[in-house]
Amino acid sequence: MVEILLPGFILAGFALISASGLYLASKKFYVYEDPRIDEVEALLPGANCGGCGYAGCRALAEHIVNDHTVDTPCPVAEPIVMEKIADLLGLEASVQEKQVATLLCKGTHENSALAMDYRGIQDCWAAVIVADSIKDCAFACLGLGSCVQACNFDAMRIENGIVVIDEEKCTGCGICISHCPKNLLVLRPVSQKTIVTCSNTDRGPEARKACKVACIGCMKCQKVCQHQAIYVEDFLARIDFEKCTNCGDCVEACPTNAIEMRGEQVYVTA
Amino acid sequence: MLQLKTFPKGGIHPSQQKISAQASITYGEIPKQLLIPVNQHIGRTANVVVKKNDVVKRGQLLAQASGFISSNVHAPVDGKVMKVFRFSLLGGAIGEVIQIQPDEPGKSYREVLEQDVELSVDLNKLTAEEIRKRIQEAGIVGMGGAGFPTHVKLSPPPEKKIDALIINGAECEPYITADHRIMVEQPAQIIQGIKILKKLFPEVPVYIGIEDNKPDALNMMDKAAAREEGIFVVPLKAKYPQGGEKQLIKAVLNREVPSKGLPMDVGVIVQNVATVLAIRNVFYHNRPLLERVVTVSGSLVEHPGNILLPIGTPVSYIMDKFNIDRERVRLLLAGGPMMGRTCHSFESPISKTTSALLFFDEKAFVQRQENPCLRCGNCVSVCPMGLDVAIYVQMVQKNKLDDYAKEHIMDCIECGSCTYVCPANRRLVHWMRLGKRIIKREN
Repeated sequence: MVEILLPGFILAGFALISASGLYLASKKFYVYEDPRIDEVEALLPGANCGGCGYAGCRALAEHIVNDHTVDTPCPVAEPIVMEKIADLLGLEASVQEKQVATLLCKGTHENSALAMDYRGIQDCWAAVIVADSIKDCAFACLGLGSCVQACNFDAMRIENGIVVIDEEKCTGCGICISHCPKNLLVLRPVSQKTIVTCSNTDRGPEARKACKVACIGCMKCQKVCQHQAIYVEDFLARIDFEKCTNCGDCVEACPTNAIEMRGEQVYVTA
Repeated sequence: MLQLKTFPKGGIHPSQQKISAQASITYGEIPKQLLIPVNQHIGRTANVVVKKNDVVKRGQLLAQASGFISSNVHAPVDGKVMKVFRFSLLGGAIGEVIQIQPDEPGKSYREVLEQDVELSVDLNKLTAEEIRKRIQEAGIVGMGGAGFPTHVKLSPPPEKKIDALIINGAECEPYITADHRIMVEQPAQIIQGIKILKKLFPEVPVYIGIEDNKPDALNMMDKAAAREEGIFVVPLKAKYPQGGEKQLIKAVLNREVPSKGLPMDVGVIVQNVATVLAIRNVFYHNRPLLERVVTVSGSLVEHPGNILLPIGTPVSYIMDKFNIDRERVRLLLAGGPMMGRTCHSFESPISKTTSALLFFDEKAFVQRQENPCLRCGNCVSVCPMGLDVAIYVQMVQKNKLDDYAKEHIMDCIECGSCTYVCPANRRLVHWMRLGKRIIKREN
């Protein structure tokens, strides 16, 4: 009988010692963590894209709870999410409009022809090592897809030599902006429909030679705009999003179709 | 048998192809128009100081250096400034160029050179400051390919003691023979240039490193240097990339430049022979850097040669001069086949750093499929910098560079030996350059 009970007691004894050890350790080394961090993290989208500037959703949640602020909104989440988080912490959320990445170029193969037969590594940064631009236009989208690779949300694709952005899928996290060697991507509020789809700062004739739809800096848009929202600097029209009312006068005035009204385009999602 | 010196680690033996080695330097004519790039050096872009319709004289300043690490640009011929605009350059970059309409197009450049009187130079009267200042004003840059401003190289901080000067006549790249011909034809002038440099660093021995595949150059330089004290010609065993500064120092002096270091960290200054010749011309002809010898070679060139051309000559002029059929050119290289850059415009001008123009047809332009790494380690064994190329490239491809790679990838000298030996046709050097670019972007 003893032969059976003895191992049982020994094991029970070990268990008791280990359990008390664990109990003491958990008391001794206890770190208080705000339970709200988990709650906030659960509300966040969990994409870990880094678009907010923090290392991931957990890091943003820690910042929100520990610093008791919603000053860094998650660029990916719907506005309602930030409101929920603000409610949870008893704060006031500032409602921000959804932003989308926008390519300031229309240099498709038809508009700006390929200047060379680039056969190197299919990456925009690899191409700019070899040549500043592989198209006629020195400012054009190279269409090799460094931004497509960087996008965490499958919102970008290469079509006809330039990047096409699916505004439904784009969350406005802004990761792609730093991955463009030509600095062609910007974030714009979704309601901003009028954009200048060109980044060529060359003089008019040279820009026109490089691309059929280049901004030639003719100033017509600046003259026609009733709200002083569009201005030409370095032979390139630029729109002040705060002043623009999307009236469309500049779109009609532009002789080269370099200004575009977004919204009528139909995005086909695969 | 005497064992010739070379660098011990890595290196390759590509086919030499020095088909223009026996073609003596010819002189071109002044082309119909010159496009002078404003940025022909490493460092800050120079500021253009001329306007449209300005009349310029030969040797007149066109663009002023915008800092210490920058370089002046001068007009190579008399003419009129037509316009200043952005144009694609031979390196693939797009940069500002100054278009000049020469007064006497078609005039032989030899006649222009003969008009320059040869001055007698009293070396004893020249002070070190004066030499540095005149080199800086003349816009001399390293003519081996990198284009680093020479006056910066020649002004080491006082705590770095220079105890050796190396003149780079290795010219390890296949096809290029520009430096070779300079050494054969103008050895006395090179020695004059070296003596000017010796004024900056008195009592310092000068070594002229020349590969043994150029016996005539070795012979001529040997004869010219024999009469001089403290100038030694060092024959080197031909191996690529011996012309790289760090490799040359290792080969000649058996000193290793530390990672991220400069030659002056081991007390050495390296100058290319063409640069030395340009320095000589500053003092003996009072002429800034206005022209250079370019090797024109490749499978499409019937009579490969070396030609002295004013800087800014468009490639199209050279193609007409050498009867190269535009339709057949599938690959145009500025520089050698190992490190040269492919170019896409026949109107691009030559710059201070263009040592060769190579024209190839489609046979040379075989595109092979890039295959997965076999882990054979060939790239690692040939890397003259001792880098784990294959590992770094995998990291770059996956965009997961770790600290180890970030520490060492910047040591890559982009010599292309790894791409040359890779049995899987991987474009290793392009990936390495991409890796360097990514690290620069992150910083």
